[in-house]
Amino acid sequence: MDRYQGLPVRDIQFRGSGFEDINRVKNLLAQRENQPLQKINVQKSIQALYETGRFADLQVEAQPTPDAQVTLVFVGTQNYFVGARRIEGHIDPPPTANQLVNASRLQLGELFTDEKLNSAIQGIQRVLTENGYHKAAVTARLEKHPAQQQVDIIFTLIPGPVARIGQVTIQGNTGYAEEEIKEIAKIYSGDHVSLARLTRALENLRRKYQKQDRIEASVSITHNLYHPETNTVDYIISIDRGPKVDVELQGAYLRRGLVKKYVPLFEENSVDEDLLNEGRRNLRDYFQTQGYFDVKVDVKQERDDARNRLHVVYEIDRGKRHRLVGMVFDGNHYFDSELLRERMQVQPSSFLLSHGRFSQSLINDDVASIQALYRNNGFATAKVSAEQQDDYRGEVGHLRVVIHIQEGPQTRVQTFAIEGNRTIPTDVIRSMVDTKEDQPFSETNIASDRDNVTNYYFNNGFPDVQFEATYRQVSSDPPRVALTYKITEGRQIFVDNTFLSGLHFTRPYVANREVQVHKGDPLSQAEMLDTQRRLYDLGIFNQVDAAIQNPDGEEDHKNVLFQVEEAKRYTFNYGFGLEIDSGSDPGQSNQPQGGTGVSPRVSFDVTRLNFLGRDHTLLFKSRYGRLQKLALFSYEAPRLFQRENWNLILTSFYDNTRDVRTFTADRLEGALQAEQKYSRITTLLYSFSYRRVKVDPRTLHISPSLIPLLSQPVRVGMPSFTLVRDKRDDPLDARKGNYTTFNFGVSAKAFGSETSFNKLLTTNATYHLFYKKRLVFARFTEIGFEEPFGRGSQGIVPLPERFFSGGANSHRGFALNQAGPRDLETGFPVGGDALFLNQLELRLPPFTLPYLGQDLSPVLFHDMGNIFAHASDFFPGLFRLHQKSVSQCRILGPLPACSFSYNSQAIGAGLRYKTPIGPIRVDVGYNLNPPSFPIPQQNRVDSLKHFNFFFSLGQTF
Amino acid sequence: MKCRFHLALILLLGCASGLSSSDVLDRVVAVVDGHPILASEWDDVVRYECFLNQRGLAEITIAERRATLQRMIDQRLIEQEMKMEDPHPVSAEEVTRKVGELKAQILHNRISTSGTESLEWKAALSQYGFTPEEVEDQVTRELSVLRFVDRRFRPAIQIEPVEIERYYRETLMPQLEKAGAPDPPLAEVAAQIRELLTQKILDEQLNNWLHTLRQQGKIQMR
Repeated sequence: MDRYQGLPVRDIQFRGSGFEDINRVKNLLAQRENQPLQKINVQKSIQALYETGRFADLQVEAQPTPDAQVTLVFVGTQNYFVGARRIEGHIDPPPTANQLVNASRLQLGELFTDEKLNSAIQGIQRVLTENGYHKAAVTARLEKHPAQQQVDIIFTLIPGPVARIGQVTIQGNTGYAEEEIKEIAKIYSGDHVSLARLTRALENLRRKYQKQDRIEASVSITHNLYHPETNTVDYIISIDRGPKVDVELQGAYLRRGLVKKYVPLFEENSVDEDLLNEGRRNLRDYFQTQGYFDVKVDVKQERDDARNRLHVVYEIDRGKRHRLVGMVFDGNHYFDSELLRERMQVQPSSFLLSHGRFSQSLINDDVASIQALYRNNGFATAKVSAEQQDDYRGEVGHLRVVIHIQEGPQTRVQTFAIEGNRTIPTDVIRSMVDTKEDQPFSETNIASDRDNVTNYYFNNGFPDVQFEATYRQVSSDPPRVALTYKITEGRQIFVDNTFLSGLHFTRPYVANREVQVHKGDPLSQAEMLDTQRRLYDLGIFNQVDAAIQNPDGEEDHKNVLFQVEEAKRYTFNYGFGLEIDSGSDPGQSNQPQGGTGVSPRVSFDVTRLNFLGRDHTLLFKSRYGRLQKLALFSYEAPRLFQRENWNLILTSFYDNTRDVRTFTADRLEGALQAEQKYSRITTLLYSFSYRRVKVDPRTLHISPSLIPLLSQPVRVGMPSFTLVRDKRDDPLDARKGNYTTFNFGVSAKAFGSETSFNKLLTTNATYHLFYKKRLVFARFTEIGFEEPFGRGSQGIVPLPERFFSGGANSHRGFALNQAGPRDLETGFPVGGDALFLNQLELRLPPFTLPYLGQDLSPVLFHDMGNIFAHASDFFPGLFRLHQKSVSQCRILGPLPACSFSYNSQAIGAGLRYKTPIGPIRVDVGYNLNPPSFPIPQQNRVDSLKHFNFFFSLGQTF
Repeated sequence: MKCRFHLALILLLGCASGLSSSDVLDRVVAVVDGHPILASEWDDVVRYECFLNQRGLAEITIAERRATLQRMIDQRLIEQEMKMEDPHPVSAEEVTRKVGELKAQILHNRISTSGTESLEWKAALSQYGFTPEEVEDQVTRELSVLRFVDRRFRPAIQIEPVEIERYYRETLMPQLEKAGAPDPPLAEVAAQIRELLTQKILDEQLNNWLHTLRQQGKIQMR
């Protein structure tokens, strides 16, 4: 080194580095070109290069030049990073290929070393052995990609025969004969070895002992011995069944199920002081919620070694029963009592909670929660306490709780400063924090600001960002603080390259266009996750891994890796089952108000993903039963015209379904629909459907005179346009916003129709929160018109194209499709050309119930509307609240003049039970003015029912 | 004939060595948790240790060089731990004092060749290829590590009076008797015994800790 010290460095070169951007690398070096060589600079340079993590080994060489200068050459051996990990060789699962890849513990993008490879092979071998593949051979093949410094590792398996269970020896105090134990465990010599089988065997034994209340039973495989010559494994199962544990409650009765629920010994399968005490606390809380607020619970154990029993006794002194008759707040000014009450778990007695809900632990939690609320809003000295007033107003057992609040002064932020931000402007940071000058000083706000700021930095390539909030008091009366956020940005990391691998059938551009991480961008975890989500959303990948290559290396440009695993392209589903439909059995029912049909059904579906190497899907779906015969073929092509907001769906299907109660229709339909997501709230649908609907005359329950007209096959070609505007906060259970649809279609000869009519259907729903945001008022209005035109139409709209109404998702004063005009010979509904439906719902806050918590809420509703025979009947009918000339509807003449043109009203109530997939709904509707109608065919007059019950999923609208 | 063959071989080798005229300036010799130790750094520390002990570089055996590298690895492991704690930098005064002690120690054993102490010190340093700044850097690094180790372990070490008394009785007294030296009163030597026992425990704990760090860390030798 000394020989070259001080000589000018003419050039710096790299050998074996694979660096794409040499200039960027040279910037890392302390030793610069055209500068004298300094030992310390050479040392710093080699350290900086090595710490990039790109090299397994590195040295620097000096080459003297004839003009007394020196050329420095950094000579490196490249590191490789883990790329794809695959398993080759068939093996009957378990284990699955994924389990084996996981067992390798090789992470995408991490540094690859021979030690890690050996450990990966051992891990795979261990999982194979656990599953009986003792003779499996595992080898690894490496496929190196020097340009990417990535190595794909392909593990090749030769599984060999699965070992069988040899001799099973049972040890310990079992209480059973050895053969009985094997029978319980269902473990037999000669069975194939598998981890699942052994786990199940141990589980079976444990469960057996637990059913006998031997909850401390210990069952384990203490030894196994493999015999390579016979490929069998001998096992020794050690059992200590432990004492029989009786849990007894003295002083109070509780049914067995509740004891098991509250005493955790059964759940944890163990007896220790902590669990016994937890049971004591749970029982105390339970009895307190039942009104025994003074309950005392003690626990003791009595061990009887001679009889191998453990007696656990909970001694309960319930004390007198109370009722929480009131809960009031005192001293609160900043928050109103209603807001505080919402945060309380303690609840005064009510219709559903006859004693209220109260326990010492609940009130302590509530006090702490309210105190935290005040502290988080700048009331640093706020004090909250609860006073329990027993025998309130002289009524024995009546309890009243007073929450005393001493708010104290509110500390506010006088000055707020942000320091240390070099890259992100202060304005940008201020826009993402909640803290502002003159706002209450809140630790919660600071924590939230910290999260926002650090997340922003993380997503802009600053993985080492640090955030420190400091404040000092600048005034004590009124209390004011000066708050400072100090940001230490650290180094910024950028994206070098992105590598997406694992594509076999998929066209690269299909996946690449989803990659949101671009060369030169700041490295963003959010964009990596977004890319991962978008790749999953294509629906053609089973697994998408995203990782940073060389995560431990200290370079400022990192490669980002996406490794995908394509899903199987073909999926076959087939099934056999029973279908039950509330429509009538075709051709069987003679009940105008319908019955229930039952039929066996077979189904067969084929899905072809990744069609043409794109995210296009072909689907064939078929159902065959007496109630429904369906064959559907669809082709879905997202990103129409290469636009992300355009989708194309082509559908053709044959459907023979009894979807209303008057007829069975054969429907052959082809449809093309283009969907344009115009904006976040607006979607436009352009569709053309072409269908031929034939009504089965055998199933047509209408007047014989109408049969030729309604049963003839009708071909309809209809272009239509739909506008959807969705501004709801939650489509599954909206609480505010609105939702509007507008649909218009024309069926005419020019489009291949045999009949001409146009169709307009529009809906609008609004949702309002009111009464302290606890109640929701929801309204839904639907108006539809169909108008035949031209000579071919004969003035009527074909039966299958008409509007029908009634049912759980429609007018709840009617059973399914029962609203509107009816055939005056048979009494069956025949639909109409105009539709009106208006629904009002008052969605009330949830009840507080034991077990169900706050998941059940009531609803009151009013539905009105009907189906009108013709568009011209719409307005007159809308203002008529009762069936016109009901007496006419009770005449069984040959041509009765019965009108159904009126606005039918229904009121009702329902319950909604909250679930993750939306509420489960039960509604009871009472029709105030159900229609009467003649059935001359049966020589009687009928009226629809007042009461209708509905059970469904999701809100009505 | 044989001579001519040898001559040709020598010329060929000579040409070959002339063609590959590059010298290895530096290289990675060990890696501690991803951070390299360079051959030049290793050489520097070997020279520094020779300087401290006033030994000639030629006297250093390969085993001694390897032992130095192992000490450097220990030092790197401790320095990584130091980065995770709040820094307690060594002051310039402390460094100056320590360098002064070192200077006194080195110059005490040297035969003066020049007139002034300053020149003498520079001569001593240049003999081993050091500048005063480089020695100050080495001293700073050592002091930082020592301070960190001391702060980490010393507060937890408690020496009971009974242990001091036992050492005095069972170890010190027999040694003094054997040497024929007078027995100092316990109170006079208690503080020294306390420090001695503390250092002993501190060394044990440091060794155990280094053992753990080596197990947890990833050390690669090149």
